Amino acid sequence: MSMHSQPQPSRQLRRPGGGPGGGPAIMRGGEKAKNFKSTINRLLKVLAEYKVAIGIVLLFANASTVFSIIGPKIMAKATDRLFEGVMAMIAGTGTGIDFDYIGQVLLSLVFLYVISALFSYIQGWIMTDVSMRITYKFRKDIAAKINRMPLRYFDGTSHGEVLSRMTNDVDTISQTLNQSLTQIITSVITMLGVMVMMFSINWLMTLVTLLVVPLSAVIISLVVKRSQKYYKAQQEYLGHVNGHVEEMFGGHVVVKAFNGEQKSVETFNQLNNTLYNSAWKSQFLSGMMMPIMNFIGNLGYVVVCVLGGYLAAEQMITVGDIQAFIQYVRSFTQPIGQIANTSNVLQGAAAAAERVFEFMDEPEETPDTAAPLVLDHVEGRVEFKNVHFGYNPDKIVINDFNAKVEPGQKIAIVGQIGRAHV
Amino acid sequence: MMRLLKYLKPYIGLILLAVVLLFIQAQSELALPDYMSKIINTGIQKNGIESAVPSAIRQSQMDKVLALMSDTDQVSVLAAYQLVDKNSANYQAVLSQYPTLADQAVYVLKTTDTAALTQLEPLMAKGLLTVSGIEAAIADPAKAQQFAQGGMDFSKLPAGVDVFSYVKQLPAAVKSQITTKIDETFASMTESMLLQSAIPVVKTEYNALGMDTTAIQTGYILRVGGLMLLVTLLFTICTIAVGFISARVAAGLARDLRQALFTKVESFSKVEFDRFSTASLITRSTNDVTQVQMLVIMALRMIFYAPIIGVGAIIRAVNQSVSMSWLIGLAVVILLGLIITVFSIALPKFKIIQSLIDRLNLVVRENLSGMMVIRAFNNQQFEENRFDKANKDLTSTSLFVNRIMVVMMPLMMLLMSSLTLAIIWVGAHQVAESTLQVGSMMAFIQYAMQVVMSFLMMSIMFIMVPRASVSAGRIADVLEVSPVIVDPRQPKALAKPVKGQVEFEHVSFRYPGAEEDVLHDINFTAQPGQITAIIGSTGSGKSTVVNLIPRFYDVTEGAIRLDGIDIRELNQKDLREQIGYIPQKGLLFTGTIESNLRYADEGASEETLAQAARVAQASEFIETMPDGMRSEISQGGSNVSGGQKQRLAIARALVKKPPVYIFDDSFSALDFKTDLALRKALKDTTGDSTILIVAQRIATIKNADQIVVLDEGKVVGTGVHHELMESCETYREIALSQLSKEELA
Repeated sequence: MSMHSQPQPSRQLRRPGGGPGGGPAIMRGGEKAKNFKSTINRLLKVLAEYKVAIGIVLLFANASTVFSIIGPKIMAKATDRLFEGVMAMIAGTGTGIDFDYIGQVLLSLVFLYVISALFSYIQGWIMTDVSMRITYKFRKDIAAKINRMPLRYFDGTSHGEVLSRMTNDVDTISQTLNQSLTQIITSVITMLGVMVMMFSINWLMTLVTLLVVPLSAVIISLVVKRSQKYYKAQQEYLGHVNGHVEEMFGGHVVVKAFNGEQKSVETFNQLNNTLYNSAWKSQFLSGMMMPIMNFIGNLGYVVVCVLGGYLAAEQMITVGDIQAFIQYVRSFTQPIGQIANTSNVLQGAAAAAERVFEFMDEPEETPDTAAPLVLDHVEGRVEFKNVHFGYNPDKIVINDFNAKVEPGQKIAIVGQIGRAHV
Repeated sequence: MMRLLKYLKPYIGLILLAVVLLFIQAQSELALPDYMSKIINTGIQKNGIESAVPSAIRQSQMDKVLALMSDTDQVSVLAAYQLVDKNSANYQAVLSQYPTLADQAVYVLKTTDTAALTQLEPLMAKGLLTVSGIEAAIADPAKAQQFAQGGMDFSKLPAGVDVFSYVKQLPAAVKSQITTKIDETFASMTESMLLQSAIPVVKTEYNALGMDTTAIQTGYILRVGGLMLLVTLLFTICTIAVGFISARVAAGLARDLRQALFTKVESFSKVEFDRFSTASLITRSTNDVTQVQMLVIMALRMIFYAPIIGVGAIIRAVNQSVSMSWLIGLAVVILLGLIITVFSIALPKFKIIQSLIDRLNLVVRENLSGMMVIRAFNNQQFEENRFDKANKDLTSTSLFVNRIMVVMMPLMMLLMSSLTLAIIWVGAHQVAESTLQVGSMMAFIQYAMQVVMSFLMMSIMFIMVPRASVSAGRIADVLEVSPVIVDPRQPKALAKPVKGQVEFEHVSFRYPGAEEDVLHDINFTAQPGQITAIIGSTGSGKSTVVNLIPRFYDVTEGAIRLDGIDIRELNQKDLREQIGYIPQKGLLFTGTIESNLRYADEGASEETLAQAARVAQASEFIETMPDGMRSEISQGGSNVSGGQKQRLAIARALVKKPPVYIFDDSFSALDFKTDLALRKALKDTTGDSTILIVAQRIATIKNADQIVVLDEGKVVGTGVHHELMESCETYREIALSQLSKEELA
């Protein structure tokens, strides 16, 4: 959702990622910061102020993730005991199902999951706090900066541009901090943790399921490559269409006066059809990601069921292990996409941060002289003495202007239009 | 969205196809846990043996089974089997399957009727279990003890006599006594338990028949696995197909809507532009269309899918276990409660946040546009405090909302985990009672998750869809407007050559919805070959007068005539063909200077273009540009100055060479020197054309053939300069405010 209700064409063209979306961010190719490294370093410096809070966040996030990863493996114990009980009943031996044990396992799981949820909430609470404080500070700094900027700056920069830094860019940074940052870290932890858990259950099944990862990486990169091409084309044609709309609506009276409607509609239809051709392709290709990821996920599921079934029949693993594996495979494919998206998210945040920092670094207005003279008796005599002035240093408008205005005098400045009498 | 339904009509076939595909997709996705449960229930637990009715049984063993059956049961069992021995026709085929056939005759299952098999299953299970029980008892005295307590004491049998042949000889009454006893023993077992217990006996029989039972088990698992793979493939194909359809439909709809909007807006007059505002029309044709496009994709891929898979998962879950479905119901109720609570707190706050953002933007915007004033009066500190207040309000509200939203994820995860645990606990008890199998319980867990997810998806839709449909409504608002100004049914034609006489006859005008007239009873005639000037103070309605001539607006009362014909009786195109209009702001289009000039006349010669530029005093600066006539003009003409834009706009009208020129305050950005030179050159070229000039400067129109003075929408004087100086008070005031007495003379 854009924060501005007014259209900002130039911005949309410049920032395809922020414009009307199309598929996951991974498709967009994203925009890149000019100097990624130094921007990120500087952003980290800002974050360093909150390092204690962020440290706690990471601790809690990881603890919460680890707890939830352990869950399925413990759950497997309950299932196993249940299955054993059943098999014993069928065989006519044993004393039935050990509900005491199962109850104990389930209770400990309840405890684990509650703790995990609690940690996850504490983590979210603190991170929200940090990101909001940073947002507030960025906005405050930008606002203060505006008042220290030389007027000249705003001749070359539209108000929308400045506003956009204050709202959109700061928002992007805060969103990245609030959601993506912890998500990226927990994704990595989840992947590693799940891998460890799977290996601890059965190495053969783990290896076979892991084969899915490079397979999906190859397929995803193929799809991404193609779809990025169409996405860019779509954004470009969308820009053309929107540009034409703006221009024709803006110059509506001229179009009408010169009977240009038909021609304008023809041009529009042509642009619109070109847009359609790349739009559906881009949409379709970016929409392929989900089914492909699903397919890979289900492939893992089938592998676990078949191989697990075989191994269980051979008494090499238990039914509970299969159940745990199914849960692990499901939670394993998810973070792959998130991690694949990481660089895009970071690039987007860096580009936004860079624009904010750029603005903060603009040269400021000459500060007031250190020892200002105090005028105590103001008569109002104004004297121009060899005044030179240009809105830009390379384009001097006023050259060596001399004039004296005495109190009580009226002075007129006359000239042709554009001759700088204002 | 409903109002745009007719635009979906061309895609109705594709949409229905997508829904069908979604059904297949849901069915195949839901089939997977079912197969998993089969692998566990049958593949692992039952060693891949699907039925308690063995596919074959040794004749000796069958005799034992039959011995303990009632006569009716014996008949139905024998009907299902075929006895194969060395003399049978299919001996070789059966031998390869059951190698033991070489030693003795084998009963092979011949019926494939599922109903008969289901009926047969408990019979065979009971029979097989009894036989194996008795055999175990004979082998193991400890077990025999158990049987003895049950009323069957094998020790009473005469030594050396086979139990089964003994029983066979017994009179019917005694036999039925025994069978009743057996039935009683099994009565404590549920049927499911009975069938499951018989499986190991069947396995033993298969081993006795010389079959490879390990191969049976792996074969079963692989068979089910293969099916799963096929189903997964089907699922993926469906998803991709749905993705293809949704992309085509959404992009197609977006294209159609954009085209309909654009064509519609191009037919609008200024009335409709005033109503919607240009910026809003642009947003509706660009952003709002994209929103609708996204909505359609979401609808086809998720909104339709969520209920399909939700209902499907519920049905499947209930099939696995009816008695546990209350758990799913409970979870869904908690989930909905959670979502409703969180969003009923957060949603109103979202609106507040939006208005706080607007507030923040407003403060900054004011700060930016009033910068000169703020600095001149040293008000920076005040502005900063004002901003800080807005910033603090926004921050604290966002903080509140975010803290609430952060609750969602952990609680949702907790809910799903708890649901799983609850299913295992309740399920375990049912497993103990043999009303549920472990594999089914695991499948039930997965179906329960799918149900919860689909409800989650649906509730998100309920929040998102209304937002997106606001865009649809805004588009429909535009599409449903019928333009006020339309061509007449039977247009009149202008007599050629068109002279260009423009006549205002008792013209009154008020803006649509306004309460007062802007123009009142205007009467004047602009003659060919003459300059008619319209002057008045700001807000006197002088621009409105000329806007009526090309029918940007229609008169409210009276009539405007071109060469004696009411302009409302002409086609708009024919009318505008006769008019060279120069707007207040020199509006230019992207392209080159040349393309802008040619906008008036595609086929204009180089000569015409050059001359138009010369007359408009534009040649000078065009020549200084590196590419001359072919210099680029960027969007909105932002790379040329205001004065240059005006001169190019004038040149553009000149290229058209029309009978009527309208200069709508088109000299305002020109300095006096250029203004003068331009007017001089104009007079020489426009010849017999009618010229209407709206101006604020007396100097621009002093020499006009006719000056119409407007004040508050009324004509307060008509005549030439010196007449009006005498007779018209308003004119004299304007004139004296701009020029000295000497200049005016």
